[in-house]
Amino acid sequence: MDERALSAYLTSNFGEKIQVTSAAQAFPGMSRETWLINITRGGRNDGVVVRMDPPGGGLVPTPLKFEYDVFTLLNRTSVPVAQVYWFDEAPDISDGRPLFVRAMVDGVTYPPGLQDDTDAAAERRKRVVLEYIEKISIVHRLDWKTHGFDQIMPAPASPEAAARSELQRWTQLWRDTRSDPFPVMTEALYWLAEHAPPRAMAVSLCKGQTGIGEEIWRDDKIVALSDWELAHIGDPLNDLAQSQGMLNMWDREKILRHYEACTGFSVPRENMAFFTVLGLFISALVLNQGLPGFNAGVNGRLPRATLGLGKVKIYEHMLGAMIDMDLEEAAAFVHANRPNPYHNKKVSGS
Amino acid sequence: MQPTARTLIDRIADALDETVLPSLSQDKWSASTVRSAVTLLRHLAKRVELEAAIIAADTADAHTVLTGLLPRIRPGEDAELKAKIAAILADPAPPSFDTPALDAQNTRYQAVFEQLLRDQYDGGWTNEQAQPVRGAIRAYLKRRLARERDMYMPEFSGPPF
Repeated sequence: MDERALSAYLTSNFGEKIQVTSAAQAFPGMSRETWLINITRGGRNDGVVVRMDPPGGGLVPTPLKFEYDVFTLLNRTSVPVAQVYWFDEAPDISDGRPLFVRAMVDGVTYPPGLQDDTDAAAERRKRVVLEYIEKISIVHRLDWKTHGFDQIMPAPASPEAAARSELQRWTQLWRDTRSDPFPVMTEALYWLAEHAPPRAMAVSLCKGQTGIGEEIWRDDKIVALSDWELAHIGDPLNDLAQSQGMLNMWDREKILRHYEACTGFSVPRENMAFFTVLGLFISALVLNQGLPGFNAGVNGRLPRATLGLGKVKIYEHMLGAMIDMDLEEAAAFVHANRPNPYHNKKVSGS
Repeated sequence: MQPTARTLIDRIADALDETVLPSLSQDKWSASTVRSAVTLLRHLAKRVELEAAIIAADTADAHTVLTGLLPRIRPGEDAELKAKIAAILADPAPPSFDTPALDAQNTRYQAVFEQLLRDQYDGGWTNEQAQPVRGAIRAYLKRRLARERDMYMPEFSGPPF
């Protein structure tokens, strides 16, 4: 980003003199661009984050304004999130791409050394996952109706409808947006419909993308929950099932018991299994969203092709193998065959 | 002609992987781009050799499956689907060297399979009517996945970015 133009833009919106001292894009920023901007204002150092759609649009099939609205509502709750400042639909600074600006929270998205093969790292992983459970529990216990979240996102009519309405939402999105016909995916969606759990133990605000790579950590504590673009109201176990390897960081059963103690909800293993498999399908859908922009030459980032073509094919093959399995077997298959990229040192660099 | 397209692509990928990538350890963005390029090149090295034959074999399989299923499609409620299947079965095969045309035809077959699945789940088929159709489609889809598997694995199983 042009730092002079950005200084002028921030000065105009904050109504005080802002000097940008550095601007760097957070890695990998596949779904959307996140820019970390160091500034001086009123003679002191500060920072803001600019979140914007990439060229060709984001991978996640919700508008950026939706995520901004979620942040705005969260700022009025006890959930730890960065303060959001404003949304801009089509500013010149981003060549007309939507953006919003929020406060920068000091911390990291990958706690360094977390995946080391040492006793100390194993102990840290336990601390980190318990911290994650405590923070995500605040989200899941939140009274979403009082805070108005059902004004900006649909809510299932009942706990009995939670799994099916979530599946229907993604099924419709898939039919509307997929790059090619995928009969294996079609069959897998019917398999999921047949295996949808009958009831959610609670209907909660869900974050949608959680875990390492999605939150801001400092001293092994979550200081801000970030990335709310897939937020929705539904079965909270969806978040746990898709927590990007968090449940592998320590004894899985003990982690789930800690969650039950923090939230007061029980954790039906059937619901966990269903959302684990649904998560694989959702990932395929989201990654596939990057192909139109790539094919049209609007966004030539090569990972859009490795993800949109290659990973989608991998997930299609996994779903194709699962349609002859029962639910528990299919969930175990996902756990065994879907490593979290954020836990790969080649990617995280730490 | 030597080197073959596959050899050339493999050697380019080797060079990026062994010479360029190690020098980018301090630059996540560039390393990610090169890692993705290597992944895509490894895929392309196989694809240039395998794609046309895989698609042709798959379309021939799909043709046989749909020919067998056509009499099971209900003429009244599913007349549109039946006509669509009859039309695609009458479609002549493109030349074996014309990969884009082979791919386009195969994509039309996949769209028909999708519609057939949706109709038999959502269109009021009885279990007796649906089971043989679903079984034949599932068996075909498994053969299809096995057929194309080598074009995507293990290349896309590694770090995605």
